[in-house]
Amino acid sequence: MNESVRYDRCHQVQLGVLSESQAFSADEDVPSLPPQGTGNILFTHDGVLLKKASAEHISDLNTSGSLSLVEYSCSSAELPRTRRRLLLEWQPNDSIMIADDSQDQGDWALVDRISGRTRTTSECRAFNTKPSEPSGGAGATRSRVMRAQLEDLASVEVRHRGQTIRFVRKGAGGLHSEFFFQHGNADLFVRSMRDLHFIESAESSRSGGAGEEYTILTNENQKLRKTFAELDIGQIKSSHLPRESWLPNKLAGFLGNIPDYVQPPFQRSPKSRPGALIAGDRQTSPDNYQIIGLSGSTNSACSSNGQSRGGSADKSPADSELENLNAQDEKIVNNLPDRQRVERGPPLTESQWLEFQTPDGRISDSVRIREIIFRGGIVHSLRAEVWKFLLNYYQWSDTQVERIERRKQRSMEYYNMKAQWLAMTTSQEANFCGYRERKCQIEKDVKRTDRSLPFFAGEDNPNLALLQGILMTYVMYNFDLGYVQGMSDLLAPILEIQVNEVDAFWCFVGFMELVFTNFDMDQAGMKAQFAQVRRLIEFANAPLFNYMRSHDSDNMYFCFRWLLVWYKRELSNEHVLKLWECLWTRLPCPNFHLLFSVAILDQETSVIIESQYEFTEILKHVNELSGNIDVEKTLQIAEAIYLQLKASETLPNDIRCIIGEPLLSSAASEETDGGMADEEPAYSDDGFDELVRELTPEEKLRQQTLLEEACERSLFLQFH
Amino acid sequence: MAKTYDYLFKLLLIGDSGVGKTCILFRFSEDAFNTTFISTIGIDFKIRTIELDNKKIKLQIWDTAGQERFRTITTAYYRGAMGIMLVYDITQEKSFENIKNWIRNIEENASADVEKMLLGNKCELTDKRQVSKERGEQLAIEYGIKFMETSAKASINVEEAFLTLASDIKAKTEKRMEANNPPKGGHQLKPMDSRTKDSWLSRCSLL
Repeated sequence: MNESVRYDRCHQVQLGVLSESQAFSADEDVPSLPPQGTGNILFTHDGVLLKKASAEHISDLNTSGSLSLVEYSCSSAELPRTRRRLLLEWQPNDSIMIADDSQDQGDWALVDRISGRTRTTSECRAFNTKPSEPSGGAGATRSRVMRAQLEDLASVEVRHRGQTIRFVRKGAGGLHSEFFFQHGNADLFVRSMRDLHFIESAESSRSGGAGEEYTILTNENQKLRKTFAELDIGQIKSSHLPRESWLPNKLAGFLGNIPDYVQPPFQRSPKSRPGALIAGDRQTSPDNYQIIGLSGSTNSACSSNGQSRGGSADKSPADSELENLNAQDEKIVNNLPDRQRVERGPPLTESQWLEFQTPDGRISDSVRIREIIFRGGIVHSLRAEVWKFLLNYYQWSDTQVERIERRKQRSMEYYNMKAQWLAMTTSQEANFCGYRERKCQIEKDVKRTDRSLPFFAGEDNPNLALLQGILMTYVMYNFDLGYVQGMSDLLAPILEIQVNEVDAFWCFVGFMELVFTNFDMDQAGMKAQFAQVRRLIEFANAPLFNYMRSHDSDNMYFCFRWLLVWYKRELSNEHVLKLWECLWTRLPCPNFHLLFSVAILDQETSVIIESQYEFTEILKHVNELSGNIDVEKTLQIAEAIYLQLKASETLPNDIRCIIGEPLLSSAASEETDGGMADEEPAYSDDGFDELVRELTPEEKLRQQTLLEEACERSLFLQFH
Repeated sequence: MAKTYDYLFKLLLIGDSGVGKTCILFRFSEDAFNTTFISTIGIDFKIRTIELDNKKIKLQIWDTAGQERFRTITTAYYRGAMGIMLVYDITQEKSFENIKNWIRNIEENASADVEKMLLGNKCELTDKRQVSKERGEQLAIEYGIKFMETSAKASINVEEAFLTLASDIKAKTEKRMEANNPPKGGHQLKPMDSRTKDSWLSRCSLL
């Protein structure tokens, strides 16, 4: 049993840290106020009133705005390595509205803001716009932004039961600014700062009093330097690993900012994990760090049992690096290892589900749950609840109370958006071609979606109105994407399970986040997936690949229907539910839905080759497989192929990229940065991070593990 | 290997979403009509062999998704087409207006001499009609193509439409073959070259 310090509120910080990746050009000077360029918002709180500030901000006093901690990185001749500059920034909310250049839809600004999704590259091309930038880069409103360099401040105080915070200048500077948190969560803001080691509790306030006072730390750079020296990160940095492609964007940037001076030999000795010291931490760690007993799973970044936890998701860069080095040392083998037999399992049951719930309603081990679901699906009665988690509508870490609150908020949000299209007048509609076309297409498709299922059968079935209402509301939620044929197929099973329109909508939103590139204006997402399936077959099933190539059939167009609606048209309804919930776990790897295609074709290899099928016959054959695909067997084959690929020592980097394995050596970086990155489909780490606000649970887990690791080390050093 | 047909013609059905392309094809290939509609995703084709002037003609008819978003994929199939059915819905003005866009699409993506035909489908829905027969005829004249009103549901003119299109392609094909290969003794027409398998591309370019 390892004792470990868990980093409280880590996820909150993480959202800010990881969501935006903007960097200064390398030769830019240390920015004076206001800084040039764009910073990374580490965290931000809305609904913050500016109560006291210098005279220049007098017009904004008592105005509601957002308070953020923003990191600007820069370098100069004196400081060849990047240096971080931390700024406290407050800007009024009205300017945030103006600042967001994604809101070029006039009346639909609200919708865009809610969606938080930037346009796809193809959409941007089509609309002739640039992808929207983080609000930090708003030039027009810069003058109204109040900024303070953290290093110019001495301390921060939390007052009035967490409603107010005030920043005090260094020296005899006195009060710099005071903010009122309308949501009463000022302490959360301070805690975020504390968790990133920008502040620490002042001794005097430890034993309570009028408020809490924290000292602002100025030498955080040094501290981090020491921390990361211990982390052996120099080696990771100095290697030519194309880390951006597999490390979370922002974390990679974060590591990139660490000075180069330390280059320890890369090793992973037991003593480099300061287990004893962390245990010793307990005496000195302040009460704000929760100490919990862990069975070692949190430490997976340093353990080598990634295999047992379902694949690459848990691996730290250090692990992957080590494996890669080892792999290179060993003899290169050309053949794929033998295909193993993979077992499927029973579905997740209600009693199992209950076991994973803590008394306050959190789900304790989402990794394990996803493993069970991947292996056997979910019993039907539990689907409505668990799908909400799988589709990122509910968060695993939320308590029951928080979930109820989230559902309430989402419900309001939904009905607001629904009201928007319901309020559309006939003449408005007549003057709005884009809206009309989407509405018209939805009406056409709702009438012909799953009408043979009892849930949607019959004339005037009220569920058709629900289906239509949700799709219309999705148009309001994401007008750029709007409605494309196939979406009704994706929604119908979700609605059938959820029944409730609000729940179905938000689950659908979660699903769409995974597959929206399928509906790209120029079909770039689909084409990229054809290329990936082709590549997977080339490597995993050379005879079939060679046959198809020599018969002009390697464009993989016949996979179109499979991939567009995730095999919805190929399987019975019950099997669709099962397959989708397996794929939503994103286990054992990203893009497993592509391996499902590879597995179907794998089973048809001999038929295709022996019958000497040309493209038309292959297409016909593939289309006629509909209704004849054995889901369980195909899932087994897909996983077995995945394991073969994963175990292959000569797996090329582009395939590693597809199945989410860490890349090998430097030669790959060109390929990945150049060719693949642009056409990455829904599941790639690269493309995905830019396009969605919320990371998938698996990515979150991976990033959190990395971040926790860094924080643990940092914490350890701070107190020793 | 005994060949079961003399000609293979590749045809294509295009037109707005929901005009009834799949139903027309189902009526022609199975002589049936299914009221449980389902939108077409991607592309599929059906085969029916007909007989014209004692020649067996195998029609391979491709059915595409109508929504504009999918055109980058579906246009890949235009190239090998020898005949194209442009379908609109007489109860939907918009689908008629869009025919000109579909024509432009053909011009951009199909071979120049592809045979075309205009179909106004759902003609049994007289009380919902938005596009008169005259306007359909007028448009067809404009483009110099043939026109028919059809009903997949009531089985009106579907058979006739395909036979007409196939017949026109056949005439054009034979004319060209005669020009290339003037009949001397017995005029044994060899529509196909030695290849016995269908390539999904450009059957007509061989002729």
